[in-house]
Amino acid sequence: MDFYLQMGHGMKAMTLELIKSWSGGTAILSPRHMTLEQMTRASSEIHDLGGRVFVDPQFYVPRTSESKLHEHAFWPEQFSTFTFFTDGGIDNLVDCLIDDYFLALNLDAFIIPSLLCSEPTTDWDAINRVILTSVSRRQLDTRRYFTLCLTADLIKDEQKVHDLIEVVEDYPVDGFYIIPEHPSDQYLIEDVQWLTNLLDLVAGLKVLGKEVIVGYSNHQLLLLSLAKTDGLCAGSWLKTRVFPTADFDEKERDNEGGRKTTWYYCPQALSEYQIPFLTNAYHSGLLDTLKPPATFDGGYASILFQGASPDTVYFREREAFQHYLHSLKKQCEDLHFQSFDEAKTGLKLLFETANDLSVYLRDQGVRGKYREFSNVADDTLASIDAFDGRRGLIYQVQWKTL
Amino acid sequence: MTDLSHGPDLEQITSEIPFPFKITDLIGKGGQKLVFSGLRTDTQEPLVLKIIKTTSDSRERTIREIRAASIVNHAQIPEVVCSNAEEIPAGENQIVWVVEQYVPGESLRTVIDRKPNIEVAQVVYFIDTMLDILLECEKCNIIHRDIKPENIIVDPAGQYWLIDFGISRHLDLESLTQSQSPFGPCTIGYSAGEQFRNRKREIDIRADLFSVGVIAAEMICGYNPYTKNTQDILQVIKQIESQPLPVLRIDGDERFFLARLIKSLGDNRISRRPRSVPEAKEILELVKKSLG
Repeated sequence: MDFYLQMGHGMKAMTLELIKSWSGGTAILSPRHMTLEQMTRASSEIHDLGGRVFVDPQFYVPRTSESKLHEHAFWPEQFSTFTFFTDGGIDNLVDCLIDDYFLALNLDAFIIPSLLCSEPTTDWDAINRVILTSVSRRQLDTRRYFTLCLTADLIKDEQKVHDLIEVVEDYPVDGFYIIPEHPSDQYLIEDVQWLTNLLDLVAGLKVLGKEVIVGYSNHQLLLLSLAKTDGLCAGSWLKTRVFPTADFDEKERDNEGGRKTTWYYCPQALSEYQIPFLTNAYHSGLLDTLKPPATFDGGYASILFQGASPDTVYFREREAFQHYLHSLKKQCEDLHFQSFDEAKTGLKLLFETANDLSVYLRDQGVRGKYREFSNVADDTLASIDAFDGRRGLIYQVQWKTL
Repeated sequence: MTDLSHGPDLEQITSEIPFPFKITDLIGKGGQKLVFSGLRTDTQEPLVLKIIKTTSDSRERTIREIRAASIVNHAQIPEVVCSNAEEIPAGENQIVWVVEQYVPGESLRTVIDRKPNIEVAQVVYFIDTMLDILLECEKCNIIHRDIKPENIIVDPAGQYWLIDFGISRHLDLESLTQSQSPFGPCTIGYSAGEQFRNRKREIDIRADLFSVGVIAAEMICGYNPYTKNTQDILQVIKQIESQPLPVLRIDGDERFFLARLIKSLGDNRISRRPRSVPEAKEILELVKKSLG
């Protein structure tokens, strides 16, 4: 599974650093956080480092009050649902995205915008087909991904998920870019139905021969490698690892970046811990248990494990984010399985180990609060078996072709 | 012109058959169709004669049925020996006749009614045979659309035959069902949701795979899980649209592979069924290995 950097607030410098250290990688630029000029510069610099660049038009909620989006040329000045979709509004949007963004920034794929979907109705489908027709007017020598920005309620509803698969079955695209709203804005998801249905959705698209990239994700969704998801996207702040629709409403939004607290990601425990809890671990002689395995370690958190108490060392948000993103990329890359059975076993081992470890640490006073994997281990593990029951046999047979 | 309500002119019809043919018995009757057993007298080969009265609306469907049965070349589909279908002019009350290979035996419906729990090996053999037949159908772009126990003959050797391509659909030809029809041609209980909802864009061989899955489940349980405890057709529709097939507990299927194959074939969600017959056959091979 590939890893994509989901760009958010203030991520450019660390993105460049990471892409340089990886000698490649893909960044998905966010119009909400960058002007066209900033994106142009970022794209050029990322390309110079051997990276790839996509732009997510973030057109999920066209009536958003998010003023930074309105500053972009492709954003309709006066969005009127009826005239926009019937009087060439879509053509203007698509032309602008292609000419001023895709071509001008030399992007490596084209993400086709679409509206937030709470139910795959015929109206939603009809609008998508207008957009797809508009895109098809232009000859694009690149991969085209269709955005599926989905509400948590849709994902929780098995019937709607299947209606969705049936609706998009013949969309003429190379892949889908899923943006799944988390239930109740949860960071780690304690909802086996949501998890299983998301796996099911990815699988439904994969068996159509489509590539699937899942945006706004976090390490719990390493689970999606079970459905052979092609790419997982995550960024620094929680707002790039969770997609709450309220985030597109300035009135509802809290400060960009959220509460400023440094969290250390322990990849083997799939949990994150604040510095005071690492200090607890230090005093209990457990700090080494939290040290990242060499495979996932990019050196960004080394300072925590050099013998000093974590509350006395210089480990800031920036290092924490870089460590998180580097570890997650390596974890994604590590999830290469030869068969569905191997994937199932491998993922169960990953999640059971993380659960055991996070429970053990918690019992020693090292708690990850809402970022502790043990909170969601049962739901995550149960979704593996539920998915196996739904699609396991077909996946066993088709694994190598998916 | 012959009118079935007054009895067809059998002498006229048999005289059109290009070999000596003698009717022996009336073995089936329904709607605008009569089915006779008969004998090709020069070779003593037993055959079946079907006589169908068509209307201007049903003529094309009848011709397509006969063509479909002729095109799909499989040892367990009765061979079409001859027919007047291609020569029938347009118009009301035309008589189409077709002579087919005679398959001795009884319908799978009779077998299930007599012996509700069929052995696992027989069920696997049934799925295998149906997938072989559907593979040929898929190659010809034909969907049978009416696979049900009544349309499957079990011959004395225990082999399964698929009959009655009456509502089959050739995917390369324009549909004969009006797009605005709320329901497509089907047998509720054995037809997939996309078929009875007439969602033409989605209808492909997976509709037939659904029927095979439901029948396999019925062979194991002795009842159709989608129609059990239902009192009318609307309840069956609701059941199919809201509940997938259960994972069956099958003796000898310790790893639940057969149960999951049946569930997957008969899944009410089209996207969870195998996407093609070769894919279903690959899974079946996995199932066979697991059963030892």
